Amino acid sequence: MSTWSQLSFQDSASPLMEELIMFHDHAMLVLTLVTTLVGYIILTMFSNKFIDRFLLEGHLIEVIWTVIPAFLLIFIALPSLHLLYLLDEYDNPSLTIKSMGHQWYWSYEYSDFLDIEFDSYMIPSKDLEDNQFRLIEVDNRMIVPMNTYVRILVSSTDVIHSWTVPALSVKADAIPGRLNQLTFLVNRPGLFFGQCSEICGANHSFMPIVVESISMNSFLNWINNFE
Amino acid sequence: MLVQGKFSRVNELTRPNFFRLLWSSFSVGFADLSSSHSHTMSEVQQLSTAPFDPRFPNQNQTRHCYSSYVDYHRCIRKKGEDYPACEYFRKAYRSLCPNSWIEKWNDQMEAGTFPGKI
Repeated sequence: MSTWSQLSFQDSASPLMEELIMFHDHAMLVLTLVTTLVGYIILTMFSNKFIDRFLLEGHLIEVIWTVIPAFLLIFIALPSLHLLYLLDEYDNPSLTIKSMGHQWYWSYEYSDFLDIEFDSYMIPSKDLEDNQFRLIEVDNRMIVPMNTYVRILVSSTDVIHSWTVPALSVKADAIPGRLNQLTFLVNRPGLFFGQCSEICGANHSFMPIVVESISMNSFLNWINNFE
Repeated sequence: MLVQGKFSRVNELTRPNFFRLLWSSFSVGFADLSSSHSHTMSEVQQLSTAPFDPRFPNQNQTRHCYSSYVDYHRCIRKKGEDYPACEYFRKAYRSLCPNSWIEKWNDQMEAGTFPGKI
């Protein structure tokens, strides 16, 4: 989850999110260097008394300051395209969960083996325990096993909602009559939070998503003992 | 529409084909469960779900769910309820389709108003 004043990404919980963060850091470094260089040149230009007598026909420098930016753009584009295609790689998932958006809560269905279905409402602030976070905790979390490819099919029963977990780099609109597929792998145990991302009425801000990632054995235990 | 037209031909389900391959991949994970009932009390030991279907490679899986449902009913209508290859479609639509859609379509089937061609 984000804490107050957080501008950066949340810590990643999946290999793809790690790659996205690394690409972001790479592109941000290039941007910072270029901005610093240009800023420095502007400042020095403004603070000196030199006059350039050779302003026209500087062919060599014009070639240099065209080729170097072209090279920098390729330097950004290659990892970007690599990541773009990597995000669309698909490996057969082991688990399918359906996430249905309602006004104003999510419901999760695990129908691969036993018919498990439950609703996930936000915990109202007045009912919070001391160790819980305001407006993002839910009564029943979506439980997933660690290190397992999971497929989520997102849809809605009424208006358009959007299901997202930033730490897993996934987001898809929940549209009535349509099933949108997301696949991800959670590579560490823990709780990962998200919030409905498409305006859906009065309580749009109050229907969060919590993914709880546990070991495979614990998950099988939970599945088999679900009441 | 092309896919639905393809499945309306009579011989489609009889020749060994792509769906036999999918059925065998889907059944691997279910080896430890009795395959005829989804609500058996035996414990889940291993996870398996509907595999990747190259007819539906993109994000929109609506037709994957709908086709699996329709194909299951066509399969049991043609081959009878106990034909094992129909299990693939049943497991696929159970995994992929939201329960509210399945209930609505089942009600329509019972009332004879299901819009698909079975």
